[in-house]
Amino acid sequence: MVETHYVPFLPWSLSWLAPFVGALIIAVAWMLKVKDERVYGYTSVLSILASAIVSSYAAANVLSKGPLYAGRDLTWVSWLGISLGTYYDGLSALMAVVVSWVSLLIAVYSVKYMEGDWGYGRYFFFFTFFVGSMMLLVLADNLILLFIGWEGTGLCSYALIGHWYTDEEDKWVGRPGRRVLGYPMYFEPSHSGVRAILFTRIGDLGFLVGIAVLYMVAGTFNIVALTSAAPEWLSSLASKGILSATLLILTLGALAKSAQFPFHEWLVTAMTGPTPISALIHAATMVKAGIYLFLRLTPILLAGAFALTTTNSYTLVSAQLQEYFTIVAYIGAFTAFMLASMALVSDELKLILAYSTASQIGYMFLGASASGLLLGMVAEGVVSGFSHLVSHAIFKAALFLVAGWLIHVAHSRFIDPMGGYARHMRLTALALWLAGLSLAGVPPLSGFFSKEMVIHMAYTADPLLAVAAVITAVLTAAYTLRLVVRVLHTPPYSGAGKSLHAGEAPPTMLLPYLALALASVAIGLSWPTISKVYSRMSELTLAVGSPVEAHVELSGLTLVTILVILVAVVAVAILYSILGARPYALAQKAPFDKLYNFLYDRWYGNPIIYMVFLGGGVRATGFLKEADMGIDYLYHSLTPKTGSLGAWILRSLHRGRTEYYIALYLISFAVIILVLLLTR
Amino acid sequence: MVEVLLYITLLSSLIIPPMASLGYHRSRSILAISWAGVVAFLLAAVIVLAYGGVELYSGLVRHDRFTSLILVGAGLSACLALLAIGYDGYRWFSHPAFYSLLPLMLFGTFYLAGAGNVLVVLASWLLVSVASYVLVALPGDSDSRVAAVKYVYVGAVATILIALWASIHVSLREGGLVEVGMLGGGLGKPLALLALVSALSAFGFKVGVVPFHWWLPSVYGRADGRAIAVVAGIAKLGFIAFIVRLATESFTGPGYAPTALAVLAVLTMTYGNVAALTTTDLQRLLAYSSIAHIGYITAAIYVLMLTQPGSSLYKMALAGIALQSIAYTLAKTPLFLLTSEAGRSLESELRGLLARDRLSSISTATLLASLLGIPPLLGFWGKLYMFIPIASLSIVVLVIALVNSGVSSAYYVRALRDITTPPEVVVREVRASYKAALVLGAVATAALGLLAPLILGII
Amino acid sequence: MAPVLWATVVLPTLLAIAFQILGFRSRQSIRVLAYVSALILLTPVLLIAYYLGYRRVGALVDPLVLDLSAYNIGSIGLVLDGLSAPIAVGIALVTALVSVYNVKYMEHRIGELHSEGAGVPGLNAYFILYNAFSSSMLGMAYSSNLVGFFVFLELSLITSFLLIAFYGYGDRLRIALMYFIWTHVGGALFLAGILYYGVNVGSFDILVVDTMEYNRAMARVGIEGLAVLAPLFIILGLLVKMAVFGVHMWLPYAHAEAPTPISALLSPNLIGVAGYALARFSPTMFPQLVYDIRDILVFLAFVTIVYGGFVALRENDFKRFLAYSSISQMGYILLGVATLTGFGVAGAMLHYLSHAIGKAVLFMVAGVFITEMGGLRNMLLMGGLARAYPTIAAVSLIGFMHLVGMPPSLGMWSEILILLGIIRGYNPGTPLTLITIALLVIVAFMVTATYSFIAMRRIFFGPLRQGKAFEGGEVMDEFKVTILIIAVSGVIAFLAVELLLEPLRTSVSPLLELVGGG
Repeated sequence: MVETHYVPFLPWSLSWLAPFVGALIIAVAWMLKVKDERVYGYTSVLSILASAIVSSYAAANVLSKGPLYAGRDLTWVSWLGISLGTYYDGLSALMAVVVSWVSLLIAVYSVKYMEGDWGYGRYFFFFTFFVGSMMLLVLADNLILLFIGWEGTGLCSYALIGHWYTDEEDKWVGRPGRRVLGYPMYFEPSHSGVRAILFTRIGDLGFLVGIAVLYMVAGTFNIVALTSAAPEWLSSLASKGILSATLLILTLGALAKSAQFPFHEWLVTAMTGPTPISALIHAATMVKAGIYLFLRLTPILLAGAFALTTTNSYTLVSAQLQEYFTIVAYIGAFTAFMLASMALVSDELKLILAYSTASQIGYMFLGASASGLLLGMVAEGVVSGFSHLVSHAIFKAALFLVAGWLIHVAHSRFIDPMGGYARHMRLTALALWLAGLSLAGVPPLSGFFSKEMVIHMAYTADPLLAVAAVITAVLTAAYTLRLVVRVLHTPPYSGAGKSLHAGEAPPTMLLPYLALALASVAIGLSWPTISKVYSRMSELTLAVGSPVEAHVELSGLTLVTILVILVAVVAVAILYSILGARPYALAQKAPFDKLYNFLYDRWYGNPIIYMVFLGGGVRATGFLKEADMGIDYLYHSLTPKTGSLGAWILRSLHRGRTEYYIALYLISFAVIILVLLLTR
Repeated sequence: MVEVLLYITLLSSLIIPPMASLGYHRSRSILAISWAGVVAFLLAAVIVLAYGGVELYSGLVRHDRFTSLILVGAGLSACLALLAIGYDGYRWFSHPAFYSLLPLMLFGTFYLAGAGNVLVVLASWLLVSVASYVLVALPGDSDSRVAAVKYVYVGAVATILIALWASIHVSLREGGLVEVGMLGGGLGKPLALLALVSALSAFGFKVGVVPFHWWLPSVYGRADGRAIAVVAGIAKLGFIAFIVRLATESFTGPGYAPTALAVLAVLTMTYGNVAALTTTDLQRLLAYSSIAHIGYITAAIYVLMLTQPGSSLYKMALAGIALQSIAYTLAKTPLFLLTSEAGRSLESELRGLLARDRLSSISTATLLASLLGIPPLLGFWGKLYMFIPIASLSIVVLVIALVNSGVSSAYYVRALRDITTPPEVVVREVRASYKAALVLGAVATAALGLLAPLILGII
Repeated sequence: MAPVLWATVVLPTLLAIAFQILGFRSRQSIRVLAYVSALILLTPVLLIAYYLGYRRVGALVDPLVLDLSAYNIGSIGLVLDGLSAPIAVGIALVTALVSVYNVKYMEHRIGELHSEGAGVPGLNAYFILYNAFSSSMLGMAYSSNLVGFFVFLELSLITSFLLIAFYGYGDRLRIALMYFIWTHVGGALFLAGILYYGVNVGSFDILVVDTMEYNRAMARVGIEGLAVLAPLFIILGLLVKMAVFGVHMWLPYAHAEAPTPISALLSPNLIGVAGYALARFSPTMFPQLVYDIRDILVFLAFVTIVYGGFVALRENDFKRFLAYSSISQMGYILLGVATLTGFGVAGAMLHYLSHAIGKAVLFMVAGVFITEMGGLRNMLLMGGLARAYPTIAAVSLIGFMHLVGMPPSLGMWSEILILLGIIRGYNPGTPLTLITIALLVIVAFMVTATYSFIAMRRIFFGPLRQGKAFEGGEVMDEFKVTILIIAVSGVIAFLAVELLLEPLRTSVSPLLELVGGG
């Protein structure tokens, strides 16, 4: 691996510092109750632009010279050996580039989109703070710094999901009034915010416990140091038999953040946030934090394992590692399939996209953990996961931004009132088509190549996983095309949105999503070059340090995949646009209605979780409240009663008759004499 | 010098009756003369304290810093009492008895506290007792009379017992010596045991040690507060000093005696606190709480019997007893006076004192807090210096004592609460003289409290 | 060095008394009093930041010492070291800013009381009591001697009792009584323990516990007395003060019905000091016993955290909710101390500070609604208040983040350190232990997060239930700015944690030698 270049804290850390500064300025402006919206919008855009430029420059340097390490000696908390280090290696540098530029585009989009919103300042504060945290998460050189960024993104996500916290009905998600097992399936923004932060918080705490254990074994939070020390702490953990447990607890954080089963529920309802937020946080960046951490971790674990090959602890370590990676891989595959199936029937534009996000991230986990299962092919695993991350970030952001405009046009978040927009807005339609096909995995768009790599990895690791992946790919193609065709070409089902002023979005909104859509085409077309970049990246990535050998060749599997995907695409397109099919009618009839409701109600995941945790919690609090009253009674009713009883008894000894006193007096005298005589 | 002052005290008490019989009983000079006596006594006490002790009549009366501190306490609260009562005593049928008995009692207290000789003990004991019997009856209302009768009756038995002690003590001393001192053959003999118990019960009667306290609540609780202020607040101190001397010079050393004392102490403090818990009558409350306080003091005396004289813990215990007694008298005297003046029911008469009369209610609160032992008031240091030595001997006694003082907060603070609740009925005002007594008592308590950590050294 | 520490303890009260005597009663002079006391109370923060944090001085010792060593009491003096630094900072910061906050709130409250016909002392008398209360708490943090500590403890108790009795809400006299009795009983147990211990070991000086002297005493009076009974009484007394599960009965009443500025001092500051005392005394004074009951204490801590949190979830009265949350937070402090590791103890001390900041902010927020929205305390009637009070909502979020332990709030550091303490203390060797620890931690910390964010939603989000929504919006007067300052200082503390953590690190390792931690 190429040696690391140590560079000064500034300007190299501006990539995460600049947005924080911007956020600070915005916060002050907000405190001073500045009315002018431009102050907020421009501050945000400019600070993110700065970050984007710095990170791109850094990335260029990394790709040419090798990893950069800024501010390693800038100690923050010496007891825990925490410094304000910014670490650019292949993975983090490219990730930073993607995050910053996507954020920039969405920031530009938001300036127009949020115009006149009563929470404008607050929106941009959290938006900018989010970008800062995300960049910090990506570039942190130690786990605590990473955790701080991690929590920062969670906080902003919470605040922005609940941005419209006054809970008007048009800001909800889910069909108002729909209940399953007595629990509502519609969520107000403020409710969704609480859900999001609590669901992810569970994972975060697991993450924290995990890194605490690592620190106790390895004695450092620094990622580079952890890598070099990996053999030691791996074997010491493995010798206690707690390696896989530790890693799983640690990975809880990644799973929760990236909305993998069983944490996926929070992401679904997160769609109450403003659409740019859904695009940025809940599609392009934050939900990727989990998989990013996983991509960071996997090579470190495997490199550590390789270093132990000759030693006798290798068997222990490798066994427990495979245990761990198997679990993660299956969670990924299962999530991918589960959420895709839900997307098939959903009738809420953003909800469909949300399902698909979680499902696609499932792919990424699958790809990365495959190399773990193989205990090899690290570069391929990382690249497959990362490349799909990038393409997904791009096309999903585009889809959401388009969705934002369509929802605005249709005055509804449901797709039934939408339809036939193609003729009103050509460019938007183009963007939607391109991004959609990329998501569907149609060659030659970026989505195809990255998904291809994942399936390939899965196949080499465990054919069963590959099968699941392919099935999911078909479902993906199906629901994507359903979405695209229904919205653009078929007439609206319900007359509500006669979309009077349907037309192209204003340029500052149009350009971002158009750019993103075209980017996904460009990446696809220039795949040979891009894949070289990825290969170079993996060469420069901490603990990987090797280029990608195996390239995606047109294997039988590939051909099959392409075939089924194309079939699905064409079939759905024809079904809806030309035959004008109405599956709803089918969904009403038995036996399909059962299936339809099952999928529509998200496999009843939410009611079950609520029944267990909410119901259980309510019962527990009720019981403890009673117990508390009991304790209170004990102290504040029983104790005083006893005291007053004693007082009454003692006082009633004083009857007030003289001879009686004399008697008592003499008796006591005699008794004491006796007692002393006997006991002395 | 000291004698001279004492004779002034005596003289003042003797001169008043003839004056009255000569028809001067309305003259203001009676009060003045009484004042002269009390002040003379206080001066004497202070001088003795300053000289660090004194021996009179070739050792018949021996005062050290400890006893003199106690005398100062008695003198101070006597001043408070006289200040508060002022001319009130003139209205009593028994006038001018009060003004002559107060100095007389102080005179007796001086000898009792310093008595180094059995005969002196007997004489001063009788003097103080009789004085206090009469004092209880003085106000002349039926309650006081009934109380006085009880007091005298039971007191008679106590007096017999002290005489019993005296005779045994003399008989057990080698060569029939009359000085207070070690008994020949120690406490082994049954006779010695009898002596111990009779002395203890006599003392217990005077100050209210369980189980010799039976009369106390109904006397302290019923009689006129002004008389009780003197009897309970001042007369007690002499007896405390006496029993301390007895414990340290005669019944000293390990054996059953300290244990017996410890047991009685624990019983006493617990009894007093529990019995006081729910009463809504301030005077009764004070009566029971004085039992509790004697309990703490007895516990400290038990320590004295077991610690090496002269050791720092011994000194601290003495200091604790002294400070506690002073805190006790400085608080009890004005409070008993208050009950006679403003009424005794916390639910009606005393309720909402704060709203009407901030000064006296704040002082009352201060005094109650001192009794409870809240730093930095004198009561706290008294308790602290008594409890630290206890801690060195037995954690059991210590914990019981402290939990007791914790429980006692229940009734002190409730009294405080009632004083601060808004009043419902129209109530008697607190006259200036009584208010002055309260305020001075509170000020003295606070001031001495701030000095206490420093004056610890002088014992 | 001049007797600065004594000055911070004595001056504020004297100042207030002086104002009372000189009869400066006007609103202006009261405000002057409030600001000047605030400045005096703030000095410890600067001292700590400069001497301990920046200059790395081991400890600040006040030259003024009352030497009672001739009477086995030791010398009553004041000291600031790394362990007490976070405590002192917490007390100083909160008391100082609440002192300014007082003016508007107590004018309102006393007005109310007078209109009810209650003849309570005026604002000036209030400030005498308030300053005495504040300084006595500082004194506890400074004390280098058990007797001195106890004296300050009693002072803080009596002053806070009077403040509740005079200016509290509801059945304030009964509640004040309850508060006084229970904490006094706790204090008595504590005193019993320290007296027995101190007398037999021969000194009440906390900072110099002579191990040889200790062993000699042990040989003299027997192990059960010195090493078992006395410590148990000390611990029990402190736990009552701390109001952990089982002896928490007095806290919800007192802290909910106290006048809100006092709640803001009682709830984080006063009860937390007991936790500090536990950390200060137990590892050096009775290492063996505390090590033996470590597991019990840890379990009790977890129970307290979960219990307090769950009951808080059921509360509809904002201040009662906060009171129960304080019980839960005491669980964290106990947890950190009970691990008997350097990380754990340091984390507990830091958590004292972060809880002080967070809870003070929240109580002051409750005070804002009480004064400005007609005594609004019922959370069922709240909701959507963020529209009316955006800044207050923001600071409340920061306050809750301090309890939950989310960056950028100091809470994150204390949470991480306590967690490290647990892992270090119970070094997990099998999957079972690891998973148990992980579950306990996740459940405990999740309870806090749950009630915090649910309360946040109940109070500030959702449709506006009542009150003036948009008329002019909120006015940021000094009353509210104080809250903002405390909240921001919490973030600053998060960034500048090094200044507190390094002194802590240097002072915990000698502290824990005897229990093998550090």
